[in-house]
Amino acid sequence: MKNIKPQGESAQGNDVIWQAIPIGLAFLALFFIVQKSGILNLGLGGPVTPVTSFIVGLVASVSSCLAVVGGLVLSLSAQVAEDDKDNRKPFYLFHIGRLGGFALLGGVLGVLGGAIGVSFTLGAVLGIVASLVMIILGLNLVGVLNKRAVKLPPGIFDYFKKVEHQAFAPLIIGAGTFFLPCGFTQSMQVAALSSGSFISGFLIMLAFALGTLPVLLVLSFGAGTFAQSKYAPLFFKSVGVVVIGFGLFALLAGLVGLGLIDPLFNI
Amino acid sequence: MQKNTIVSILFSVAIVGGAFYFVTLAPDASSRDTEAAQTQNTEMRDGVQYVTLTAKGGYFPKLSSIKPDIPTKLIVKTSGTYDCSASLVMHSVGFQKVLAPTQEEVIDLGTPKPGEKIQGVCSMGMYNFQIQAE
Repeated sequence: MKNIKPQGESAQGNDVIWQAIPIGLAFLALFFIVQKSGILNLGLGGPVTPVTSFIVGLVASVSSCLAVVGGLVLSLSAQVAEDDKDNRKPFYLFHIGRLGGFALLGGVLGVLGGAIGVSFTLGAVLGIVASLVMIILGLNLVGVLNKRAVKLPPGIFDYFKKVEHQAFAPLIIGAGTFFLPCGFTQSMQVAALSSGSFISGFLIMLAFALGTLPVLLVLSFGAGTFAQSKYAPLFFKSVGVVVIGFGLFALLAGLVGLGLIDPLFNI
Repeated sequence: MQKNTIVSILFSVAIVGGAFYFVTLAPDASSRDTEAAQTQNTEMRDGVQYVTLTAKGGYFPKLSSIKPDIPTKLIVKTSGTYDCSASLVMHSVGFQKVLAPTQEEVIDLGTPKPGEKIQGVCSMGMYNFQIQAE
């Protein structure tokens, strides 16, 4: 092993990863066991109202969709917090972008009605892009892709740092999560499509996004809070392990969804 | 190697092994899989073979067998289904649709040849089912 460590990193830095791996894996195991247990298969009948879609949003935020949307939020937030632990502006912008984007795009679906369909391929491709972002950020958080340890294609993280201080990028990414693959989101999009008016589509998707908000807020602001505590190194590395796990899951699932590989698991 | 490292590796192996066992090998928590497999889910009506699946938190039964060389239709039933299993993709028959929360969708499978396998997945790819002509 090469021993060229920057001054800040003590010998403990090496130990942290060995604590982070079991923590991260335990979290992943818990997540997949909850999915498998079927306790998230709630029965809701009748037409979709904003109240229904709010409840569906609550469920979606802890479902397997968490692996895609939550994983992306967690990895981006942890990366932002690691670069600048006092910078909360991107978090607010992301959530505003997500709520606004869902509401407006939901309204558009309501107006257009049956004229358009929900695109599976676009969702799957974006899901694969998101999973790759998660894997790269996860490796970076764990420290494998550490700028000092491995030479990365130059510019990726510089570009990222530049982008995270601008307003439009978090807004756009927040709104863009509308298109990420998530079965619950798609069901609600179809409900918005058949709702027949701008305002009803707007309300259905806004209520759904509000339902997913608590968990996503905890993920992003939790990351910011941990970044300021003394557990920050352990937190970032544990998040890295979790995010890599989510990223691999989302990547494999995305390839299955596109029909490129055979199903490997049935969660 | 330090003691911490060894403890950590042992812990990790135990967690992964345990989770793997739970997700793949342990009897299904919902046990709908085995229940549905025991009841016959194919039926002949007017010379057409119908296979019925329920879609909610996955597809049940996960594996169905049908007779080959008969015109076949698939009925997918949703009931209060909002999860991924509502957005069904069947690449081999070119079908993709987000099903309404409660409905019965009839999908034409054509006339499957002996040995043909028809596979369906949900759009995110984590639920799947297979229909086998044999």
